[in-house]
Amino acid sequence: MTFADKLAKLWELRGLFAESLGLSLLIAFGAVVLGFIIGVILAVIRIAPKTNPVIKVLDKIAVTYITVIRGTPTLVQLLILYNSILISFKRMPTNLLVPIIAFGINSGAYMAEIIRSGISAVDSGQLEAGRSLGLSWITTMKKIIIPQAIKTTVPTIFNEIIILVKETSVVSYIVLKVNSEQKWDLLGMAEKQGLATPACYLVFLFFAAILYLAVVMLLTALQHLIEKRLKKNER
Amino acid sequence: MSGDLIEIRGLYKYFGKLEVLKGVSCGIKKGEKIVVLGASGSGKSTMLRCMNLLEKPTYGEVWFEGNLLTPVDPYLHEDIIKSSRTFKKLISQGNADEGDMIAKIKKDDLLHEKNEGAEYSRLMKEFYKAHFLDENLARARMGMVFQHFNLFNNLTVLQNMTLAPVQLKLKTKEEATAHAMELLGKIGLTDKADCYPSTLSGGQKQRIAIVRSLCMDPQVMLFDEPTSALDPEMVGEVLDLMKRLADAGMTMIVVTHEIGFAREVADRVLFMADGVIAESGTPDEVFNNPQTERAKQFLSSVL
Repeated sequence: MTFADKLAKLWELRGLFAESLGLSLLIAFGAVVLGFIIGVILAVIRIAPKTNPVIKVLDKIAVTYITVIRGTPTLVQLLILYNSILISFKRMPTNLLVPIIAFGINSGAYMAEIIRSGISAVDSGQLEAGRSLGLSWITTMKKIIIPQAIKTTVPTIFNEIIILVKETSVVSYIVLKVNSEQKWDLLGMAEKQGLATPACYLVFLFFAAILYLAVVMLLTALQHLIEKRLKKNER
Repeated sequence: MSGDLIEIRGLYKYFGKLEVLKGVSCGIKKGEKIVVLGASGSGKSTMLRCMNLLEKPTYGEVWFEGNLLTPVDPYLHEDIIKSSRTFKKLISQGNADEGDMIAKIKKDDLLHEKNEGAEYSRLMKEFYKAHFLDENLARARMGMVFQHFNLFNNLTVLQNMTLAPVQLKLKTKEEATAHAMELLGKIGLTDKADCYPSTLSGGQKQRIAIVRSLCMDPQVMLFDEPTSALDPEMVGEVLDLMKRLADAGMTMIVVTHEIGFAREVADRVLFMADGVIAESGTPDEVFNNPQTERAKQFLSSVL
């Protein structure tokens, strides 16, 4: 098989690769949204003044969550969730919620630490000013502190998003279904097609790598755009 | 409790082992202008910050418009002390003089919330229920101006001013905006309404911080060294605005090192040293005829 033949084969399969890229991105996007929400909630719990017992218990839970999730491999988490508490999602005709929830839970722990560091970096005078005007702690967090914390952590958050996009490739360890039909993520598709046409395996892998790289470069461009727009209120 | 707008009673504040306030009591009447002087570390900022609960006093009570903002301090209420088991025990042991026993209980911190019996708990609870006001409601009626301005960096000048009144549903967005623009007009900064704080000078920031508080129609304004972080040429514009506010009848408590401002504006000067109010009187009394050695020393170093 010449290189041109291999490229021709790849061209033939372009629809399938495009679909699998879409699936990878969909999983990553869902996980980022979920991870961000979990991250903000955990960060706020971690930073809240430990005055009442409910907050203290929530804080303990948050610390445990972050420790366990950051301390175990993503793939292990995915497989455990896939075969335990997410088993009812696994059996649905469309089971994409399994990887979205698993990666979201995973990313949430990292996002929590990122956002917490951002909150700590906001000048304590900002909180005092909000409270002195009669705003509650949570309103001040929402309107003043968290927007500033997120702004300073945009580069780090994007770092986490980029890692997550690539990390979704471990999803090829589980069976994905859309309307009861088996589907593959980008890496899964490259492997599946590589098995069918072993001569093209390396080309497919390179192609998958290029697509991941392209997505990450687009994300980096988006990051710079957002940073630039957020800088506007400094001038 | 009395007719004071703000009253602090027996305030103690510890930061760990460091005693910053050691029993401060003082009442401020509506319309009064108080200037608080004292060396750094004398507790003057801490006292001010206790008034709107930015610092929680370790002991003592803060009252605002007849409402209690802190937990009840049993040592300030004889009837509550008398209802305690500790007191009853001391009396039953043949200690005849009630006044002495109350003084002893206060001095040795003998009350232990959990062991004082049902009557004590009931009195504490009833008193609290009858007088307590949520700190957020109180703060909405007290303005505060900080040394470092603390304008919200993520909001424009106008948003800085309208955020709290709109969030707390005191005004509609339109009303708040109109009020904010009117106040900006008074300080000649209408053109800065849509600017972010980082583009402003220190003097502009502090004047906007002042009118941001005014947007809440406060009953009293607390100033925590409002000119200490400013370049010298900007101090004047901030003091001028504060004088205009004083002339308009605002109740003001100002922690500052500006002796000139104190002389000109203050109805009463409090001189703090070592966590207590060492001297209190009209500017004339305090500046021209200080009674304590510490005040004399301080004044000779700043005048």
